[in-house]
Amino acid sequence: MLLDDLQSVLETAGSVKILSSLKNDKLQYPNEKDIRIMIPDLHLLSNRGRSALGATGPAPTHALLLKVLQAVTQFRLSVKADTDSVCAVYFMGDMLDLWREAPSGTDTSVVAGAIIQDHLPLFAAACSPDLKARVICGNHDFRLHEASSFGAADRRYYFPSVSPTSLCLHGDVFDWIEDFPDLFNETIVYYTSPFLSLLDHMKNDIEKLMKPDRNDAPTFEPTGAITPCTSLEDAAALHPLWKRAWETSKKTNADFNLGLRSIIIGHTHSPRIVAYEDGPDFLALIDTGAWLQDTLSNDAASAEQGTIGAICGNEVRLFHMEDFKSGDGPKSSTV
Amino acid sequence: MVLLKKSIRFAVISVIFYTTSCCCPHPPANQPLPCAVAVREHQLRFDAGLPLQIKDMESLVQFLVAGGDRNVMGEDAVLLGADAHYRPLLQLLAQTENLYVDSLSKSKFSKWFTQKPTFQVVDAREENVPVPGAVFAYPDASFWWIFHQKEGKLIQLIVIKSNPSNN
Repeated sequence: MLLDDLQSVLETAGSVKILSSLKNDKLQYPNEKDIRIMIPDLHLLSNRGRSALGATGPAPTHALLLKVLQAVTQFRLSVKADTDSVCAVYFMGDMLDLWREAPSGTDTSVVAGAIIQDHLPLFAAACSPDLKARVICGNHDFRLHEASSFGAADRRYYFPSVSPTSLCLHGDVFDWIEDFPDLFNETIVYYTSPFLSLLDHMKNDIEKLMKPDRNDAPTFEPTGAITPCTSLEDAAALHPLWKRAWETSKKTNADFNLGLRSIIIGHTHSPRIVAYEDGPDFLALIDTGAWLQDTLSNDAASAEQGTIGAICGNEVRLFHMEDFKSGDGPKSSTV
Repeated sequence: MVLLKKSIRFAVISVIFYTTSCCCPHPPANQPLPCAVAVREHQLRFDAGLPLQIKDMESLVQFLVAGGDRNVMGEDAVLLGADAHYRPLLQLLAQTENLYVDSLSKSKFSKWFTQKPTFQVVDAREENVPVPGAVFAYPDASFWWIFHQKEGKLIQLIVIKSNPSNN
């Protein structure tokens, strides 16, 4: 089973826990030789960008993430040794935090270049031809495709390629905040960045008013193996983006005669799986979480952690990863 | 109380929105044409001789459905409506009577080519810089359609990814 194999490989890079999982034939993703791996929001900043925003202390090393990327690359190569197999890796958007790095209107290539320069080993691994990762544009890097190295970046991927049942996208389109014009959001995010100096005097007030329950710090609350809700209201209560995700799946299915059964997103930084099942209706919203070392305070960033999502053979798992504690060997547990 | 908080939130956002709208430069309504179109790497490029052959047409449809990225062909779909939208264009490009430079500005192509072409095309694979007018490119929402012509006849097509999908 490729999901078990992936978990074993991740255990060589760090300490692994299964945060949440769902096994259900209604996912209609039965191919056990087809695995999709999701790496959510990295929000990478340059050292200058972090410093300009008021961060102190050394820049995060991303040592764990680098080990994870190298492990996933080796895993992909081993899976692809069987030419009938598929192993596709997706960066789920907001890989680079162009919004926080520079004010609106700055050339994307220049901003992206500054970030890349300070994370060369990380980008070498993330953009390796052996990994062949898809890069999804998020709301914080929605013009990333303008940088030549990211010319292949796109907004969404449906898979498998024939009769797709799953849609992978950043998820910002489901967020009411994104109903405002990009320029507005871009400006607000830059001027309310976490380590901000300019407009500091009103930053906290604005944040409290605008984002009472939106916190950049990721939450990694384990939910274990989940069972689908039987009412749309219950599902909507479990995830703020559920309602629009559900509406999108219905519309896409109608427009393109599809049978989407899962939508995979990043964006919220709170990994969880919410599923709904009622007769023939089924949808799983898979929120893959985040890796936020560059946008957290130095204390919070010192303990690197993040999440990886994966789907294969009618099963989805969200893995939480952190560094081995001292004296800890490679091992894993189910929360 | 909740209603009051939501009202305050909306009022603050509205004020900031109108303030920033007035003070900040607005992006252009349409993506501006670049100074030059660069012919991308094999991953993001499809080359075909004209008239299009059936085999090339099917491969090109797959390339377009994959959003113009060979790395995801056969594994992901990006532009779900690409087959229905572009196949009639490819069929036109398979017919010799349509393969003249002037044909592209006629109404039968207007569904796909709504803007004027640019003649600034850079292809570092070529031995020499192009004869002016020998290569030109039409943009659409997701791709550049680059044509080589000789004596007014279209002889080669290159399609490259230009923008992410919007469907």
